Amino acid sequence: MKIVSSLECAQNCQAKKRWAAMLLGAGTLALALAGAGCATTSGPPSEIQARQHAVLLLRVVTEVEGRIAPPFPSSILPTDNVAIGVGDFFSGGKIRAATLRFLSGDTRKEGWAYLLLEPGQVYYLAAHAPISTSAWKYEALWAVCPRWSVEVPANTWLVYAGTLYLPGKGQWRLFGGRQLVEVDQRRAEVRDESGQAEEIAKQWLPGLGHMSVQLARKWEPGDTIILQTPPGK
Amino acid sequence: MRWHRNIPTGIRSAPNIEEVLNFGHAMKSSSPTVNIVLLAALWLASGCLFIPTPKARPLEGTEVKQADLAFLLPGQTTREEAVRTLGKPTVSWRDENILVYRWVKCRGVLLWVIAGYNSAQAGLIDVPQEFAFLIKFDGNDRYQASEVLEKPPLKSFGKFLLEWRDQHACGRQPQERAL
Repeated sequence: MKIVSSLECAQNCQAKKRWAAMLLGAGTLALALAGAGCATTSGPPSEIQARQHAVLLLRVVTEVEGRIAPPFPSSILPTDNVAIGVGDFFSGGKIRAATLRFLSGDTRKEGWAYLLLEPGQVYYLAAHAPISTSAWKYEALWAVCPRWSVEVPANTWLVYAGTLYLPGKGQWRLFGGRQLVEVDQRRAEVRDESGQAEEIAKQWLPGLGHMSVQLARKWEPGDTIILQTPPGK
Repeated sequence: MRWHRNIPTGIRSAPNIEEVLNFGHAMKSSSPTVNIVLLAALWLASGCLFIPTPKARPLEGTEVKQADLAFLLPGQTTREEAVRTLGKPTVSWRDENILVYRWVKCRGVLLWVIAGYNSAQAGLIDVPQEFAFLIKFDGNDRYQASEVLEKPPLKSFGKFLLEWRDQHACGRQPQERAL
């Protein structure tokens, strides 16, 4: 009897250990998935809800040799077709890599993205092909790539900056399709898709009030950089 | 060149690429003590050296010289006249009515060398020095104050502007301008 009970105990202990291991595994997997670089959010982040930053909504359409290519195809793999930069008052308009955020997997594939920015400033947007081989070249490209200026008015929490249409030349990736390597500056333009932007904002960014349409304006090298004092400074 | 147990004095002065390339062979045939000394010598051989250039060459923008500013008369010279004489400004701080002309000079070059196990890389990097001519106008677009300054390299451009504005805060007349 004693032998049977000790066997049962051993089996129970093993079962418990197995469950514990499975739970640990599931927890680790959940943590790994959460931290795998997914920028997709299911609702407005806390900074937006707390009205600390405004949402600058934009769409990026990349076209590689006449074919539309999703600009940000994956949230895990480094397969983006474009790098987006932003300059502000503190950088004196100098462009730095921007932290793009996305609303959902589907909207990301369609090129919809947003930036969290302080309202009441003039910003400079830039786009160039992604480069992962040289940090210096990557940084240097911000000074020569297509740039636009856009204003985020004070007390405005949702701004649509337009759709950046970026056609250009591509090259084959080791895996996957062709990747944008050079933006055709003459053909790059800002398109107005404010109707679609309204729909996106209604679905994903409710409660931010009226969406202000401030289409980004082309900024040419040699143009004066306009700066506006950040609120409270 | 063949490396022996006694470290050649050459490594302390100027190792050429050939010497560095042969380093791996020396490491294989030496004792641990010699290897440590060689590694230390290799680490010392890697590094960078700042070489100041006697006459700073311009890297970006056009320098505004004091001699170009004789036309500026406080309360008289207009913003339009200033732009006509000095050219298009780099930055227009619209709500403060301040124009900024920015230029960058090369302060010197940085020679860098990185020596690895059996290879070496070297190069030159320009060391920039950023300057700005800031010119403030009053509410009637008349010249008020100006200064040529060197921007500290670690200070953000915005902070640099805010500090200058605060120094010239007397008679501030913020004005909204169209983009």
